[in-house]
Amino acid sequence: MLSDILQSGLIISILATAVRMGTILLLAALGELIVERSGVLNLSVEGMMLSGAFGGFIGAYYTNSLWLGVLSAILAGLLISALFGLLAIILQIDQTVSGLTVNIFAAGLTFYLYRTLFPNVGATNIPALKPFSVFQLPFLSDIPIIGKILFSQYALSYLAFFLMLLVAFYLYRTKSGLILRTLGENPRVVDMKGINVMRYRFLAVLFGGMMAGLAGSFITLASVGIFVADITSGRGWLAIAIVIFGDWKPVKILWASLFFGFIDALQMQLQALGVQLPFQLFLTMPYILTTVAVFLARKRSGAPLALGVHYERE
Amino acid sequence: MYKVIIKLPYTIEKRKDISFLLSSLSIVVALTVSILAAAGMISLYGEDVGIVLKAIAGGSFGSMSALIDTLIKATPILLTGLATVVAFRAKVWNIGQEGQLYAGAMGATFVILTFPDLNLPPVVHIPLLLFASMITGAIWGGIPGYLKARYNVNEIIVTVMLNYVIQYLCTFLLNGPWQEPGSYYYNTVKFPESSFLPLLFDTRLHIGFLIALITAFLVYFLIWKMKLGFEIRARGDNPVAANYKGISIQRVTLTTMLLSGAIAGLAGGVEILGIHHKLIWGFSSGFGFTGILICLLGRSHPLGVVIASIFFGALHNGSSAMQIYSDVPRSFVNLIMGLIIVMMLFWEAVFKYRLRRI
Repeated sequence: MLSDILQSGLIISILATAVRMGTILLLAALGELIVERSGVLNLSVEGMMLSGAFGGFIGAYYTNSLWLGVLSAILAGLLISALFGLLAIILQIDQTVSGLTVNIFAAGLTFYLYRTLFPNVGATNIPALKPFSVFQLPFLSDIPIIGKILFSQYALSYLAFFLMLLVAFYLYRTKSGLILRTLGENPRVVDMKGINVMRYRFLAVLFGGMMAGLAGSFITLASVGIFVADITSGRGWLAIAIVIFGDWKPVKILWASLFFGFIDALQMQLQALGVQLPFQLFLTMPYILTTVAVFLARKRSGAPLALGVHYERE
Repeated sequence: MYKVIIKLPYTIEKRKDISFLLSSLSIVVALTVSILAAAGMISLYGEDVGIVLKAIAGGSFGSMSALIDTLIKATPILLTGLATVVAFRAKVWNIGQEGQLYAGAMGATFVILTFPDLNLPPVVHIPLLLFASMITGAIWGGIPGYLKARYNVNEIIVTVMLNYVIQYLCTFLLNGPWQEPGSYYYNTVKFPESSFLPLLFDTRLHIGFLIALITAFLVYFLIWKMKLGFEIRARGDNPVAANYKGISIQRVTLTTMLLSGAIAGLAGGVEILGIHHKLIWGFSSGFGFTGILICLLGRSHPLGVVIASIFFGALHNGSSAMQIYSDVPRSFVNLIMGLIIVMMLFWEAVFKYRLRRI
């Protein structure tokens, strides 16, 4: 048993899956990072991701183009996040309540639309499409071991890593990034500079929505090729936990995402190997570890000071 | 080049206080807009709006048996709604009602399966089982409560995660040690008859509905008439001031989560002892999550929660009739539920502002 696990082929396969699952989380967490850094606590990541998963599936199903599917996923995430922005930022409703409400709304909406478009879905005839195949980077994927783990991934994974660099650059090397970070710490300072706090935060929320939508499309378009209710199964919440665990810093968030991706991959592979433990117990692993992770991260200091607080002009 | 500036003689300003009347008006407006939207969408199906709405109304309140079914459907979500009220009044964000409901159902099941030969009269057996439900529900709510109180760990994430953990634990038990021998499905053996909740007025309505109503009254009494209730509200309204008044925020946080978990656990116990008479996979169709919706819709007030839960029970029930009489799918109700709650938040926020003549 143990020798099976230690076989290098298996380890490579687990690590490659870890990178794949990790990038889904990374995309959503990067979006949430920008939102939270602007001082907005967005708890509707799960709903935005679910909408993205749905939008991606529908878009690709009807246009026969996976990339148009990705685009429609981004659009779906954008629309749902605009609803959140309307409630939480423009109307200044409690951010927690807004987030929960948007989640409920997105779950109801996607479920309804799916049932309307596919009225006769049973257990056997679930509509499916052919998902993305891996995109092997020339030359790099030929490197032994590392090539298989890092450079034989989906195009969306490479995009996720690129976006991580972009987000880090934006936050720490641009003026706009500085303004965004200040917004999360002390919005009054930004307001005094004559910058519209609400508009900035709204844009941040929209970015978060697009990223969550993109992450959602990864699930339906690059992983399974089908859509079912609650297909995101808590990954949106995981993304929020990753932002906390990653101390609101892009590079740490990358490591945290990969770690959770690894747990997911381990769970899948051990299950496939037929380890003599009930599969349900494997399935609980990511959730238990998330709890442990937020517990361990309880003293993290990177949380924006004004997180979750409405800004009102005097 | 001229720029045309139209100056309206009005300005928008925020009200200091929103009156009860305006708050109620916002609910009326939200419901009206939602129903109009629903009617518009039904007509998109090419259905006669009148017939569909009549089917929904008939299926939910049209006859005695329809009304009874509505109340049966309202029972679990009334309880999870009350569990949410207790938590949200304290601004302890318990999103784990679904998991606590499972914990409650599993607690009662555990007692039944562990002591199969108790031979207790129902008068003793049922309270014992419901008590077990509340204890296990309280434990499942107490874990995030303790982590929040003692270590300030985000309760939202922990409660969401524990929802998943307990549901997998439940499938494991139903697919393993608790599964009915020889059964193909995920369910336990049928419970002994002494555990069945008694029925009211010779109908299918079990006393769970009465229990839920009594709980609603108790929650009202707790929150507005008792010291703990005052502390719960104080934590929610202004934790800093509450702390200065000598209220231990940590203790209130933990107590709130224990109570909220116990009520959600009770919902689980009532549902399986009242309806299914065994633990069966899928006994909850998202009752815990609906409870959050019910609480928000009922303005976090027990009376509002009673009304909202019956309304939702009716919607759910009516949706079956709607599916029979028209091409509109049942899932339409899920959409309408989401729409109503968004509309309510929206209009309430809008009513916070007023136009004033300059």
